[in-house]
Amino acid sequence: MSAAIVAQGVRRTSLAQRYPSILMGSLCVLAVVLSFYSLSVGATDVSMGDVFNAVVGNTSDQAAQIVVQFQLPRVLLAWLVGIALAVSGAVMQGVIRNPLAAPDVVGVTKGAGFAGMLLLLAIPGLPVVAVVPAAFAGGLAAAALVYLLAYRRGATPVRIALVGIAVSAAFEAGIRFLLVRNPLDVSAALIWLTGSLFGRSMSSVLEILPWVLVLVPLIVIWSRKLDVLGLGDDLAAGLGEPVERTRRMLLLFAVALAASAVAVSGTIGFVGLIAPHMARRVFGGKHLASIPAAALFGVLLMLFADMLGRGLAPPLEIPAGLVTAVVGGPYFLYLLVKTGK
Amino acid sequence: MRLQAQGVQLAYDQRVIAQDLTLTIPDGKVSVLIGPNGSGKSTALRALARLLPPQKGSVILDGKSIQETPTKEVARLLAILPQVLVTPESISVEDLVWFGRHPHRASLKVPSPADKEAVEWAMDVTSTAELRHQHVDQLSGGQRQRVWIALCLAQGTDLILLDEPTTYLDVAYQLEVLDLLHQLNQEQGKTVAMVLHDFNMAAEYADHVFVMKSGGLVTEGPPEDVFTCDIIRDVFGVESKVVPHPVSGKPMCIPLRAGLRAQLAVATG
Amino acid sequence: MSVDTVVKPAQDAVHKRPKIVTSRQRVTWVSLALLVVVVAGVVWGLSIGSQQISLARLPGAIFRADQPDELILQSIRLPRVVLALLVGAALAVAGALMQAVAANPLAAPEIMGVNAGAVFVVVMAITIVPSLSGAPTILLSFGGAAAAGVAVMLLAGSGGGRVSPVRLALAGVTASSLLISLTQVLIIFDENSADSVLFWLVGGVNFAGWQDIRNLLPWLAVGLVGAFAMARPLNLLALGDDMARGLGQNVERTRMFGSALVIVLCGAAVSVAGPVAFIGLIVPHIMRRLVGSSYTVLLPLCAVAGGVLVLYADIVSRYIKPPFEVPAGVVTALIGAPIFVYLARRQKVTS
Repeated sequence: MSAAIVAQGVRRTSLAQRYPSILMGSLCVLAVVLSFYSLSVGATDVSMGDVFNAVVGNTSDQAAQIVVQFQLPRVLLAWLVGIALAVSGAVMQGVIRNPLAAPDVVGVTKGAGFAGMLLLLAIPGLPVVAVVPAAFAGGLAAAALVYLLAYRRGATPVRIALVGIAVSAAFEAGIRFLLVRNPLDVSAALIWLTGSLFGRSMSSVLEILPWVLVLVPLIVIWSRKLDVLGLGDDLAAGLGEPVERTRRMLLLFAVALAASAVAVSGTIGFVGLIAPHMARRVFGGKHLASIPAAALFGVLLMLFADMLGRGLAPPLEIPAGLVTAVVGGPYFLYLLVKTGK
Repeated sequence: MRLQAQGVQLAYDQRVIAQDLTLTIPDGKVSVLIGPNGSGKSTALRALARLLPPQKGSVILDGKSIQETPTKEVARLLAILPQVLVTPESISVEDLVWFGRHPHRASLKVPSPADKEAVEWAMDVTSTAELRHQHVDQLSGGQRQRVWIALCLAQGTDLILLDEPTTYLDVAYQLEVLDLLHQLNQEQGKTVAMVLHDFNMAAEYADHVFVMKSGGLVTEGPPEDVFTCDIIRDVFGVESKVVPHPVSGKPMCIPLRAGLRAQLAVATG
Repeated sequence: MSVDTVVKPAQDAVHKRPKIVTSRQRVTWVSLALLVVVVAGVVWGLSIGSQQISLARLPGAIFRADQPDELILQSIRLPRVVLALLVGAALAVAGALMQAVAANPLAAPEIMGVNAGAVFVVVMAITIVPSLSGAPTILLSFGGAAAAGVAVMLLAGSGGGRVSPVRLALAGVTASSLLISLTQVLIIFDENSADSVLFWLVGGVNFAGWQDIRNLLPWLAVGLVGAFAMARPLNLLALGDDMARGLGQNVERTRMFGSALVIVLCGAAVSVAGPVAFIGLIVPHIMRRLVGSSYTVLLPLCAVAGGVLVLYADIVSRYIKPPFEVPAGVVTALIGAPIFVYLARRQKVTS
């Protein structure tokens, strides 16, 4: 055999990569516990035990029941939005082959934001719920626009990313134009744009639920295709993957997930960027492990952001979107320090 | 012959690279495509590998047009190792070789014994089994190429196409890789077709050589027939002397620098 | 992700070797055209508004201050016009510098997060100390711009490999959106007037005063003079690092000076006019199409063209929702975004 050059300190697969289920199970448990905690924290403090009983339906404690009635949708939404954004981000990072890709990048977020704002400003006083279908459509339309513009005998990841950034910027310009023409509603609009779980009801949960239930399992089933795409277009095609088609489908799934999340909760940034990162760091690059892991991290991030937003300065509510933005900062610094040369 | 390009016209956007090109890859042999930059050798290989649809003409694999055959089916018959390879972060050798089974595995299927066997065999033949848990991006150039070749072998195809598998490798690794390919051809009967930049390596290892220039096939045949001073001069634009390799007997082209050309002219009268 | 060693070298470099050949005639024509456009713009900008001032009276009005509308001219419109020209010049030149230094056609202050960083720091400072203005503001602005720019470069370079336009764009977008969100936080919670909210989000010259111009001028002068002096080194840099070094250029120092100038120009411009979008990206591209890539010619013309763009954007913005003030940044964003899309589509993809 040739002179084998064994590098000193050969990196081997980590513990998490070899026994993912255990770690993921614990994360799941953590998320559930956090959910119950979240239910109990808020404007009125109710004990976790009471909350548990209320959820299960075991108690006649009025306070607990009311709390659950108001908070449960939020917590459920935290789960669903967290999963949707995180999985969407994971898929986009896999398809675009760049760890900085996120739903925000392909224009979904800004497109949804623009459409939502358009409606909100056209009909002032409109309840947030009514904005959902418009925002969803806007997100999809924006992504479709990006894909079409990036297409030239195929839409390569690089073009998708670049065009996506440009189109996002265009929609951002549109949003600012809208803001400018309606200066009186600026604050309210900005708050919706920033994204929060405030005042959401079960109807929002039901809006996003089917998308998550259908698309996430589909994506997990396709996780090996994502892995193969990561090898480069040529090799992926050589391995029998119809690259353009697969990429289109995966992006469609990711976009739909992101659009549904933005539609119900506004533009919550960074979850779609950070959760997949964290998942990959801990569980490795294989999507079969990293996608569910990303979903879990997404849930944890959302729960954390929402709780912090509510608990920091009651009764004032800091929108979850702001908290994620602030959390995003330190995480990036960490990234820089860790990998900076 | 299983793989063949018939009268193909190949282009990128509006730029036509090759016109009316016909190439038949001989089964069970090692074929090499050589030519200067821009001759279309890589483009031709990509067309053969179904990576570039021809504007005119067609590529035939086992009697069927390759464009009309589903990608997955082609992947079970033909393996391609492209020139630019993206190594995913922190992936082990074994995991990378497993990708080779992708064309045989439906989305929901658990790895079958046949899959495991193919992967083990591929790693065995390429002597990468002992590296299986190491991260690919930590291996040497030659080791890494062997791993990629193992991936292609795990596909279980009889046809293997490689686009410049040795360019930018140290010479020791170049020989390592080419020796392996030669062995695969001799012992396993694999048909190997590759683009090589170094025409002397081509002469050493090839059974059949395709010489390309400006998008057309200048000549083809065994190295002994193809490597002549005239052809080298015509295609590569250099004066050379062709001598038999002192050990293998294969033709060796030695390009002549300016001063020597004059000497040669005098010597040959 | 690491790209394997078997990779084609410089032939496929992302960076296209620019043509450093300019046609004298072309330059002359373009300069003249720009000059005409500037003058027209100035006249137009001075004459529109709630008070119509006839063209004939303009020249006199600029220098005397007897009648009320002449006062308007001097204290409101003139500074606005002048500031538009100055800010546009600063941003356009900064953009051209940035593209040269980063060797990246998509490098621009807003894409690299530089503007967002500057705005964030300034807004934060103003929230904490509402009376802050003048020199301290500008210096803080520099700090924000520098920090953001460095962060983006590091973020783009993280994970090894060449920094392609995509990576840079993605890193910049990430950093920008973070900073913009944070800025929005501050703005919302400080309950500022809608006007000032928009100002810091969008950028414009509608609040221009002579004080702003006085604050900006020294830094602008430093920035522009420095940039013009760097024209020759930048031309060399465009040939590639190795080539430039071989020709005796200190590449690192050139980059550092260039970056410093970008910070100065952007930081100063943003601190008085907010984050006016896209000037730094599109003006250099357009001018390059017209007069080629030689920086000795490109930089001065960018300065003028940038000023023109902001000036006209400001004029147009006044027609959008009269009699309300619309910040010029909105118009530049609406113009710039489609051009940005066009540029993104055109990128030669090699990574």
